[in-house]
Amino acid sequence: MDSSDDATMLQRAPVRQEQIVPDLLKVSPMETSTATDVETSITEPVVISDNFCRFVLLNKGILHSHSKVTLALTAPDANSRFFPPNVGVASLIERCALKVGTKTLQEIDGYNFLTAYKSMFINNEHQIERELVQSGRCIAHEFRYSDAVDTLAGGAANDTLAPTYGLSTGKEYKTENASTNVILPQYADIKNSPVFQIALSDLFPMLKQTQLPLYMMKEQVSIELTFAPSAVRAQSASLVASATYTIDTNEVKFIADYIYYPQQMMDAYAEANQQITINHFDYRHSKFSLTSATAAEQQIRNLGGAGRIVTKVITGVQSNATNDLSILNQFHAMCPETGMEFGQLPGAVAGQNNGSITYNIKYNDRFLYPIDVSNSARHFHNVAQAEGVPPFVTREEYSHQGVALTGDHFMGYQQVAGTAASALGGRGINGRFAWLSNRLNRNERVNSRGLEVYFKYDTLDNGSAFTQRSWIEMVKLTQLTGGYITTTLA
Amino acid sequence: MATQSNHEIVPSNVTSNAKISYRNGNPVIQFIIGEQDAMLLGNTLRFTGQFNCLVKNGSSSTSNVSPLAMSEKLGVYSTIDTLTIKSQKTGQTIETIRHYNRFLASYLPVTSSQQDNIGHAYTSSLILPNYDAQTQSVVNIPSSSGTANSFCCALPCGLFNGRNPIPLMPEAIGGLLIELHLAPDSQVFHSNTDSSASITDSFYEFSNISLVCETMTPDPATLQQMKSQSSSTFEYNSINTYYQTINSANGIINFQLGLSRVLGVFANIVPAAHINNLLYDGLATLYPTNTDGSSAAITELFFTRNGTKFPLDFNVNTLQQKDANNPTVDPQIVYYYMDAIKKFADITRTSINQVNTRYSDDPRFDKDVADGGCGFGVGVAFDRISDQGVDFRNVNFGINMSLGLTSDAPQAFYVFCHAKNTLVFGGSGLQVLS
Repeated sequence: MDSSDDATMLQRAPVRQEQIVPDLLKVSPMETSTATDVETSITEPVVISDNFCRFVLLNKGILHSHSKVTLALTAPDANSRFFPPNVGVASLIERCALKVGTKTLQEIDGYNFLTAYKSMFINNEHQIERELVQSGRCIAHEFRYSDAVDTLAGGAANDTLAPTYGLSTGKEYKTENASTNVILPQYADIKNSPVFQIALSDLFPMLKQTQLPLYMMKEQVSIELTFAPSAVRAQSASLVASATYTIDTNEVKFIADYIYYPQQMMDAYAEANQQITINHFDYRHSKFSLTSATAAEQQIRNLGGAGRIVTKVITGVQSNATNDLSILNQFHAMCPETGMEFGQLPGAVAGQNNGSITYNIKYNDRFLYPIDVSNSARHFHNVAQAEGVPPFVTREEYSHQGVALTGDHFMGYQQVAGTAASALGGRGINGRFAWLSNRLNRNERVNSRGLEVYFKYDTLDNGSAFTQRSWIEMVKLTQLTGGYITTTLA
Repeated sequence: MATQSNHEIVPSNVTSNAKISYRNGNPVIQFIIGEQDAMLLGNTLRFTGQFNCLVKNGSSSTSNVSPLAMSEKLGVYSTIDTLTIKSQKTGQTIETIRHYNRFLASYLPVTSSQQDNIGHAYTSSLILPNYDAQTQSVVNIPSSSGTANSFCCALPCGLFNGRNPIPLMPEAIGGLLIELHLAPDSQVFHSNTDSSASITDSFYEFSNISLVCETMTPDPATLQQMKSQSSSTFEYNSINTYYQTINSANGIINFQLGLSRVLGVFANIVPAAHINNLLYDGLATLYPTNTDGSSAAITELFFTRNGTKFPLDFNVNTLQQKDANNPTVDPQIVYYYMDAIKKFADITRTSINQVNTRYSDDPRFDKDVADGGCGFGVGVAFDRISDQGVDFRNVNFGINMSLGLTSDAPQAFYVFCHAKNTLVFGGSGLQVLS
């Protein structure tokens, strides 16, 4: 492959100017006044069980990337249960694959964990206003104003003092049984059998830029979803026992929007584009077992990627001990800490301090950063640089620094209880969003040695086992020629 | 193919113990991005390190004991008084923003929402838009346990916010010298009670600081082409700062801006007596106030260019003209102020709302205002159509106000002028055309 090919890997090729028909596949406003017809079909899966389902698409029109997959759980009982608020209904999907004939265009393993990372980039306003209804995600924040005391000297008319903030669900915090709690709206409570949906472009990020011209494909197009084990599908509200969660197979559907343009235009497009090339990214998932002792020493982990163009590395460490008796289940990313809790005076416990993550990536015999990164705010910046959008999570959530996260509860679980020493690795959200992401900005193909991650986590002192999950984002090349797909990693 | 690389630059005036504070004799932090055959990606540049607040040497501020507080809407930005960017090769000043913290006290609330400020701005720059939460989590928490506040903040300014990569080659800018002039401790901190006796020795301290950025190295052919150009230009926006006080019911600000392409002017206000005063927040962006904290509401406002009304050819007659007790700041004032900072239609996220833009007549001034503190200011945009700006080289700019300033309370106006600049570089050196 020559260097000109390399140059086209990283961005979608521009639409040819001489093309007389508009680019029908591009997900963007189109400069045409042509009437568009959208046909919506509700498709049942051809295979469905509690572990797996497959949808087969009809080879007609152009598949709209915002087509939806609907999912639901059967309510185990009449108790309150909920989807993890940072993942929503995506907690049900362990792996998703988009296949054409015998070829896999895109397959994401650990999809529910990757969604925990991706959801950080949806702004809080959007989450509480739309995602809570659509997918069950609702990471948003509100100040917890103190109504116990008037502002220091401002008087009752000026009661604006808020020492903390907490999660916001659109409902008020309510004090019951000596604790103050906020719950999700009834429509999001699993006991009421909510049906949520995931957009196709969220399942398969390659569809964010491109729509599939199904009418030009001669092979069967299918979507396969592998469901996650019951233990991580949903959360029980506090004081509610764990349950076995089963997929409501009657509600698993694919709501497909097929776009049609005038027949003449679609024929002309097919005629003018005998070969369509799509550059997109694919994600390769890998896992690595850790203990607090091993994580405290510098580890060197090879993530692969040899011979590939890798553009991003995403990493997070999960405590294996957390389960459905918590807010986030295993869909979190631990940051090191030693148990600094809200209300403690600084230095109240000898030697107490926030630990740090030391991190760097070596490829092609050079490190990505000249000095290993250990500042948590710098990690945060690197994540923002990698995605082009800052994570919409707070300092306590990301790095366990600060004491502004409320001691109040969410669905019965104390939000600040993310400390290592607490039961089950912490049931709250404190320090549970410490995802690391790094953009490999040198535009180099990784050599045969692959990517090596150098990392160290100070004071992961939970005592339980941990799993470090990583994804590498690789450039992939898919071609549609004469109705048949070929796809290769660049 | 162009490649990028990450850099981490430590201050060129680093101290032996790697700690920097205004109080202990380090009022300037200087970073040098050396001249090299690469281009700086300005939007990747971050000032990073750790930040600590101390009541006195060796004593951290502790919860519910110390009244120490700082501006919740600025966080670590409170500490930067002046940002200066120069050419390393020639020493020519490319951009300088005096009263940088006060500029950001207007810019940040207008362009970021409360959720932004609770979230990523809190993590990156220690902003948390409630005075008490910010005090508890930033001022008090850096503890004797060794924990300090990590930060990694951008340095918003015209040069770094621009989309064009900044050429660092010796034939172009020749490297950059970035200076952060720190603000006095008494301007950064204030007491959240009515006494400052226990915090007179308070100070802030930086440690482990560095500047991180990415540079882009063009492919050899492009690089050669760039280096062989006899001269070239680089367009960027800048912020120019002016200061004036008023102490009259007829407030007049009048400046010769000396700039040829002015996009907009905005100003924020604080009683002059609050500057460098531990009793008050010197970085508050208050409405004009009388000595007792009662509002000196603006009843009429207009802007002038060369003595004639411009760009609005009418007076902004406010709600208080008919009802002096109306606590609502006139929406026209808020609209034009926000529009001067960023095109109003493009402001998709903001913290400015009816809670923090009301005349509260608070004798504690800004200390108890929710949602990031008072967000008042005046301003006007000159050119929202062509985006090329208006010529103020030889004519004066003016703000005329009628207001209820009936006591002897000088009001400090920090005026910020947003203008386009062109940097010309070549064999004869650098020249900034403003």
